[in-house]
Amino acid sequence: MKKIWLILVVMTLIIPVSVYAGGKKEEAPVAVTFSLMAAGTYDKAAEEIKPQFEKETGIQLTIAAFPWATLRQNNTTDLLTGTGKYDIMSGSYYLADVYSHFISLDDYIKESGFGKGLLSGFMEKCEHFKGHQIGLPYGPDAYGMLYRKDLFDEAGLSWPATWDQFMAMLPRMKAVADSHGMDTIVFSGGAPEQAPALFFDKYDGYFITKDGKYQLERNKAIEVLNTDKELLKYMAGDFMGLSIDDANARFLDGKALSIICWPSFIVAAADNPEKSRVVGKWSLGKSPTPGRPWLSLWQIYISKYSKNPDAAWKWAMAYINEKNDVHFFKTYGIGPVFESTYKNPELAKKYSHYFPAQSYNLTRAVNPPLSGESQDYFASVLGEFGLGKLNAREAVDKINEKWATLPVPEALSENAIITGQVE
Amino acid sequence: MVIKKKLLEKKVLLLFLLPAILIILIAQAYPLLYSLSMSFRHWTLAESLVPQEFVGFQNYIKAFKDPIFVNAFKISMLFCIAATTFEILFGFILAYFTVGETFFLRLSRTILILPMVIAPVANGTIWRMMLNSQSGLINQLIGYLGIQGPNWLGIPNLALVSVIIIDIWQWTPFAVVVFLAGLSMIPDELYDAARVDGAGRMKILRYIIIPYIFPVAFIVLLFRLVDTLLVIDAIYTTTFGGPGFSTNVITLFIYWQALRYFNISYASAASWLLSICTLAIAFSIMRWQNRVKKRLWGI
Repeated sequence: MKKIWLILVVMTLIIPVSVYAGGKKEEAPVAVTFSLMAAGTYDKAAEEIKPQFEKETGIQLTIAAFPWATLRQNNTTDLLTGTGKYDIMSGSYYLADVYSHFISLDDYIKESGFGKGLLSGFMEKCEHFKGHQIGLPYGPDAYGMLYRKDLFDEAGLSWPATWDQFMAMLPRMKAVADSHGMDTIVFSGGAPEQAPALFFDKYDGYFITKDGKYQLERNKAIEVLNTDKELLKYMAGDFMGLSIDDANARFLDGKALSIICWPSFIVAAADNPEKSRVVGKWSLGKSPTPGRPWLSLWQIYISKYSKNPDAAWKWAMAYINEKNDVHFFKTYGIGPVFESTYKNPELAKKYSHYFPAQSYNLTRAVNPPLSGESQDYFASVLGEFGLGKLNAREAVDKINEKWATLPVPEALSENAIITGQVE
Repeated sequence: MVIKKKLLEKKVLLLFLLPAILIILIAQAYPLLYSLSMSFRHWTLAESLVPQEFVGFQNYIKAFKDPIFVNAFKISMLFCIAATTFEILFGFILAYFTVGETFFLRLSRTILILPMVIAPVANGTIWRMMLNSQSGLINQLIGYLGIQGPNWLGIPNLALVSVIIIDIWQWTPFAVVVFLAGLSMIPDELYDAARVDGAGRMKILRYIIIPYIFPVAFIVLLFRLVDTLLVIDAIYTTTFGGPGFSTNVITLFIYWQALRYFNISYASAASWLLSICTLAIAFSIMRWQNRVKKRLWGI
């Protein structure tokens, strides 16, 4: 009996020690997860460089790609519950409510020198929280207008520098469009969330008052909406039913003289003879003044709940760099964020119809400092305005009335000061 | 002795039911009560991970004063009444004409039921494509008649009509199934007796079929009214509440408040208002059903 007891005691000592020793021998590799949008571009680019990254760093990377709405939901839920499933997240200003859950990247940026060579002002345009930078930029785009340069040239029209000039030119544009049996302007009015684009690109007033409340600068906002009302008269008759794809398809089919759109959604197809009837015939216009085009700026954030923030940073650096900036643009059409890509002689020549205006628009574009709720409401009221249910004055007053009840997230307020959108 | 035995039996039965009752309490009652308590507090997930101070009826008052909520409520009611009415009407007509046991009728019934088995999200996506003003099937068909089809999802009233049509298309089969069950329960002797008495098709419909299937109609009415009040998938995938606020139903409003803006307490209050409204409708229908039963059958 004593022997049995002795054996049991020895076993209980040996087993944990051997398990511990065995565990020590094979240390689990550092692993990080990157969540981003399943767009067939950003995610494909990440997949492409993943093997090389894992080989060079020994870090195990998991790429979790979701459609936009799911991505937003997964990221926010992960952060709000403190789960830490995703170490590195892809997002934009719509994540403002959860900025406090991201780590400050200041030390990493300082140590690595990241930011040199980015498009002018892009480090400032990245999201900040309590004075610290929390986002790194990639894949930028600015709402803009593609137009049929061939037909403009034929009619002796030149791209206007201001909105006043643009509005004055509209009747001539319509005449050109009519003579070719096409729409003057197409826009995805059927995608409700896109409605603010027409407003942002003409509005240079404030969004936040001195005392930190959401508000549109009334007179400027009314003026913009009155301009838009005039502009809507030149839109395709069915523009309120067009999705982004519908509107893009119409321009690609050669059935529209111009299109107001996210250029990155259409440029690759517009230059592809298999998908477009306008190859070599279009150009991107420099966004007229005043106003600040709507900026889409994907950013990489590192979660506060990541167990491996250093590894997460290494991945961010592997993903966003000058070499990949060129490669990703050439291969996947991802918008470049480095100045050098726009100055690359080969690309500059090939994309002379796109690069100059795009880099100009990007430097002027900003993210509006709007929370999800304020922007959704804004978009819906603009939708009602577009349908003629409200006039400009009523729309602006309705927006301001609701906005007065909505809180401004601290982070957005901070960014609005940096980008000059506060009274 | 007998009474004691019966009591013991009841206790044993209750003991067996206890696990199930506990599961129901934990899985259903607890979340419901928790959401009720949340509706009386201030809680925005973006500000704090835990519920904040007690605010009384503030969230409920906010909802009544919120024009978006009030508008969403109106649209939900409109959607609910229109969709349910047509579903019952079409459901009955289709059931009436497809009741029987021939191969053709059975095949027709199978085909009629198909829309109900499609996932609502897929259904919404398919309809979005079909209603596309440019390349959609509906406008192409209208185009063959030489008429230019309208912009279904781009005009507020038409967008609402479109989402109602989608719901009718998907859920009329439910009414068909229930009405078919009701129609097949009518004894053949009644038809025979009516015919012997010289009743024609319309009289049989008026005096035999309709009174007989009234209880069944109430089931359809109850289920469809409640279900249409809770609709979200078809609207989410076709119009996302737009254009403007024209198809912004109350469930979409709650979804936005809770999962897009993280206003948990406000979304809880809105959910409870919807629940109260749904319960009120359900009870009214049940009371009405009892009154009708009494009048028709004397029970």
